[in-house]
Order: sequence, then C-alpha cells, then structure tokens
Amino acid sequence: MRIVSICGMGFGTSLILRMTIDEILKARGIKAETMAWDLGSAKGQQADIVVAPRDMERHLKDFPARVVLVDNLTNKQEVEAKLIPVVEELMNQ
Amino acid sequence: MLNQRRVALLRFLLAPGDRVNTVATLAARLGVSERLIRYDLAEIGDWVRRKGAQVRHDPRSGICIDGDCERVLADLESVMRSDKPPAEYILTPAERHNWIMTLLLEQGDPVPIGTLADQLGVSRGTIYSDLHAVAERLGQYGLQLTKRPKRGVCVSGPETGIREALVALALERIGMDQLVLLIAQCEQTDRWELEPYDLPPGPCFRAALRALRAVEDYSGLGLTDVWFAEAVLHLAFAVHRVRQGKHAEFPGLPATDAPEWRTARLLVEQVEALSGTSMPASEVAPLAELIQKAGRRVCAAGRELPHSPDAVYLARRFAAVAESLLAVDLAGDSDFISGLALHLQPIPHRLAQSPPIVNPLLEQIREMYPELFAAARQAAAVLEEAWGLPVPEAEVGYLTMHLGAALERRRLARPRRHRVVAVCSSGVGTARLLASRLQAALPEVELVAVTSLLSLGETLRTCECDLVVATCPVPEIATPVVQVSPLLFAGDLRAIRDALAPEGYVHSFQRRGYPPMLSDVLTEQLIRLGVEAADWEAAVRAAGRVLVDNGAVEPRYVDAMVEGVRRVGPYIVVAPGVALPHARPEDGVRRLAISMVQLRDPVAFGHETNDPVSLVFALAAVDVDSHLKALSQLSSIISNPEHVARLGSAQDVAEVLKVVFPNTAGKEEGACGS
Repeated sequence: MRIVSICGMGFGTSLILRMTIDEILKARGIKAETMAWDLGSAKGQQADIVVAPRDMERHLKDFPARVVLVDNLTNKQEVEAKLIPVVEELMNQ
Repeated sequence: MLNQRRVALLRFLLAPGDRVNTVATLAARLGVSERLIRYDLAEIGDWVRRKGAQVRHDPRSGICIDGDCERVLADLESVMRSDKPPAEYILTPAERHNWIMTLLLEQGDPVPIGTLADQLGVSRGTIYSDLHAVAERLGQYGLQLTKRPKRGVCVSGPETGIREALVALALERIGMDQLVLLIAQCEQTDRWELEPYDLPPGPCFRAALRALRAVEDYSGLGLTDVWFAEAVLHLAFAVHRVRQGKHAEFPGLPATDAPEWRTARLLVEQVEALSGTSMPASEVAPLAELIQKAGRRVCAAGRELPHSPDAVYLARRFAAVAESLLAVDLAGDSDFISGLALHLQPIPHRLAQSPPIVNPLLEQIREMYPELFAAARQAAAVLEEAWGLPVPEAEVGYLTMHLGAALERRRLARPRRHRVVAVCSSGVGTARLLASRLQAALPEVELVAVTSLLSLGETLRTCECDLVVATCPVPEIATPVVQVSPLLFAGDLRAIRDALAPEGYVHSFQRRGYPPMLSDVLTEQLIRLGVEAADWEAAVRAAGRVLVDNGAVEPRYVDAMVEGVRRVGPYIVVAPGVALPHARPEDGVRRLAISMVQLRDPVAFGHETNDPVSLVFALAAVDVDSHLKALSQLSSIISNPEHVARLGSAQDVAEVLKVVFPNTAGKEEGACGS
C-alpha cells in the first residue's frame, strides 16, 4: 500500500504529515510505503491513499486515490482517527 | 578461484573513488543476490590474501580492499591477460566458447580438438559439448563449424560474418564500459597497448580511431560513445583483416547517396591514408550499415544531427498515447520530443538485426517506474505499427527512461550553486534520465552539461564545473568524479553530496554522526517576539525577513513562500495557531534554518479550523531530507497545545528556549526526541 502526504512544496508540511503517519503505522504494526510529495510531482503518480491538509481539498478533487483531509497535521489522534479506517478498509478489500 | 563475476566485482572494489560499497549495493550493481555477493567476497578474500591484501568490511567505509591496491590490480590484469587460459581463474562455459571461437576465427586453419582441450585445461568431452554451442553461435553470423578428420575443426563462411563475430566476441570479452574507457585512455596518452585484450593490433586500432575522429569533425557525425567504440572496433578489425588479405565481399556500391554511405566512404578513405593499407571498395558497405544502426550522441557542443521528420512524427504520436495514459503534458515538452526522436531514429535498423537489444537496467527500471513502464509498453504499439516490428521489453525500458526523464523534469525548478557535468556513455535515454534524476533529487546542484565520455575533455575545457557525475568509469582528470547508476540510488546521492560539499553546512553535521537537530537550526538569533503584522502575508514576510537577516536565504525566497500560500492555500497552518511557511531549496536557500516569529496580535490565514495564527516558523531547507530530524522535533513541540500557548505568550527568548529545549544539558538530544 502506498500512502502519500502532499503539500504545496514537498519540503515541510508534507514531511511533518508523513512523519506523523509513519509513527501511527509503526505503532500499529502496519506496513505501508509512505512518501511526501508536492502537488506538481504528484500528478501522474499513483497512490492508494493521499493525506493532505484540508485547505488543499480543491487541488485533489480528481486525484485517483482515497483522499484523507487533516486539519491539525501534528495531531496524531486526528490523523489516526481519519486515516486508519481508510487503511483498514483498503486492506480488507 | 576467480571467475568472470568475481573479477568484475574485484575490479569495481579496486577502482578509485570514495563511494561506500555494501553487500546490497554490490548485489544491485551486478544484478545478483546478496548471498552470491557474500560468497564471491569470500573467494575474492582468499585470492587477494595470496597477493598480500585483504577484503575489509567495516560499517563506516563499507567493503574495500585493504593493502597495495595497485599491485593487486596489476596481478589481476596479468592473470587476465595471459593468453594461456589462466590457472587462477575458472572460465565460465560462455568464456570458453568465446575463447574457442576467437581462436578458430583468427587461425583460419583447422585446430585439433586435443590442442583446445590442453590449452583450456578441460577434457575432450567438454570440448565436444562446447563445440555444439560454438556451432550454434557461429550460425547466428552465417558461419559454419567444419570438422576435418585428423586435422581438427575450423570456421568457414563469409568474411562479413567473421568480422561481425570477431567484433561481438571482443566486446563480450572486454565489456563496453571497459572498451570506451580504453579508447579514452589510448587517445589521451597516445599509447596503444591492446594486447591484454586480444583486440586488433595497436596500429590498426589507432588508424581506426583517428579516421573516425577526422570524419566526425568533418561530417558532424555524432555517435554515442557506445556506437563510437563499436565503430572503432569494426574499422580496426577491417584494417587488420584486409592486411591479412581477407576482404569483405559485397555486391558493389549502391546507387544511393544517403549520408551514411557518404560518411562510410569518407571513413574508408581516411583509414586508408592513416594506416597505409589499401582498402577495397567492398569495405564501405559494412560501415554504412553500422552507421545506420548507430545511435547519435547527446552532445554538449550541440552537434546533434537534425532528426528525420519521421522520427519526430513518431515521437509525437508516442507522446500523445503516453500523455493520455499518464495525464501529463508531454507534447509540449520539446526536450522530450527531440530526445525521443533522436532515440527512435536508428531503432528499426537495430530491431531488424541480431543480436537483440540489451538493457542492463531493465529490471530496475521496471521496479522503479511500474506505471511508466506500463504506459511505455502501451504507447509502443504506435511504434510497432509504424515499423511493422515488435518492440522488445528491453526497448520499452529505454522508452520508459525517456518518460521518466520528462516526469522528473516537472519536479524541478532552476537549481544553482554546485556546477555538475553528467557523463553518460550509453545513450540518449540514459543520459537524459540521469540528468533529470540529478536535478530532481539534488536541487542544490546546477547541471551545466550532459556529455559523453569521449567529449568530456572538450566539455571541461569550455565550461567550469565542480564535479563530474558519470555512469561509466572515467580516466583520471583534475575534476573530482563520482561514478553512479543512471537511476541514482540513495548511495549514489550520498556519494555526490559528499563529493560536492565535504565542508558544507549540512555535512559538518553528518560527519559528526547525526543530522542537524532543532537546536542547530532554530538558534537564538532566529527568534523574534512581539512582532506586529497586519495580515497573513505580513506575518510570513516577517518570519522570512529573519531568515534573510541571518543570511540563510536570499530575499526572493520570501516571495516564493508568499506565492506558495497564494497558489495552494493556507495549508501551511499546520496546527491551531501555528503556521509553517516554506518554499523550495532552489528558491534561494543558502543554508538550513528555521526562524520563529511570535505575533503580537494573532492574524487570520483563512484556515477553516486552525486560525488565528500567533506563531510563524519559516523553514529553509537545502534538500529533501537533511532537515527531517529538526522538523520532527519541531512537530512534536507544536503538536502540544500547551507548548504552543507558552510560546505564544513568551516574554523573552529565554522562555522560548526553555520550551523548545527544556533540558539544556542534553541539548543535542533535542526537546522531545522523535
């Protein structure tokens, strides 16, 4: 499974998000490939789940992946609560 | 005992350069399992111990040969060059076949089976079964293996087939990389010691090389290194064989005056003058055919030949299909179209010929770019239709590289600072992929030229550069050289960074064994309290100005941060009350730093849930990963609302530092670990 965090630049916000995701997955023993991309390079790439700040919703409308939108990127509980159900759903498919 | 793979491995370990080799990188390089590499290393260890050296394996510098490397290399070369099949070396069956075929082709007269068995140190039975394989292989070149009772075996068939076989066998023995390197060295030193490699004699080789150079300058024929090397080999064998009275047979000259034929005629004239050997007119045709098959060089000096309209048309059609599959714009990418057209031009000639196209990177490409490979496969249908020939996987791999290059190009902007020249001897696709990978993965690097090994000298004379990054071995030059895979694996990137900035900011941290901590990056002079800002833009600019004042970024970086928010949205408000504006390294970052601005009055950024913002951390990153540790520490601080509140109301810098680095004694551990 490939989980990708996305931000406008690919150097800050998405990295924070990716680190939060990594921690969550690690704690739960879930194996997945995580990456941090900027919007521009995300195009044409493939991912199973995209995690992004809520404000980027409009940029991700047509993205061919499940999109998880997060308000507080540093809040593990929030990211976990939104991401894990999607991960589990995909794993059960 | 050594064998082919172990010799390659040992050569690689002995090659100068400061890359760190691990079992994994060696396995990837040779395309075999890690277990096999461990086994090979043990055997190599036995061998080098007898030469007074040893294989060292330490976690910091990786696997290397300890001892007098030059002597070991000299011993290795003498083992390899002895014309008797060597005692310290087990020939693989393929090597035995090569050896037998080369002997038979050069001898002409029958060779007794017993002689072959003695020389190779194997039984007659082995030779008999080898001869089956040899006969089959010779058949590919239209040659027959004939057994003469009481006299032995010999090869018969057309001279053109014999030449082709000789060239292919020589290439197999020496390897393309090694041949290109050898040509570069011969040319540089004007010494032509080719005996160890069983190549045509020095004078023939020299005349061939000079002739090709002369014609290249005159006609603008720009061959890739690989094809140049192959052409040298062909021409050298031609001179050698003609001197022995063996002429190529060919049904006269064609009426056509195609450029390949003109160039081939020129070549024959030149080599005649340079070698003093009179070449019959029948020698022109095989050369014309070779030139037609050859790939053109991607060349810094802009000597690329114009593409044929057919190739450009095909490239556009290929782009149209790939574009629809990948949802990116390719037709508008003129680099992509011209690179692809250049690449496509000679392919139908190559596909129609044996031997098949090989792509040593095929597996890695497939693994790294599965979607692109699938798209290339599908789009290749356009080419198959136009050529009426199936396009093999190996070729699809090259097409994938072109697509990869185009997509990677999108991820990059205008890098600067370190000036790098990329050297690639195999072809246009590899060169372009390397170039794009370099620019995408190392934004701190400015790629000043992409060139082939044989034009490197000229490139270095005309442009200034700090580092040469090459996919092939490079003879000693004044500029530092790093050898890499065109796919640029993590180890390659590290090697390039180390070579570029041994004294650089990030690297001083890496040398001490751990990455920059938040305490290294967010220092006292980067903190401002009680700053007044009317709106989000003023707040971002205030945090940016702190970076500018500290020399961490150029003023344009601040504009880029603001522009980022305008373009994408207030996503940089990562947590309630906290904004983390940033742009990209190539937007003017000088060094890794984070500034912190506490706003006197919180401002709204337009974020749905996290407004208003009272803390702005502006991040300046130099690459994609050196700031990870610091960022993770910062992230764990701002994930704690209590910390955010304390930072928001802090009255002096000391109070801020207390929150950010609560335990000053263990400052290097950072505040919260990761």
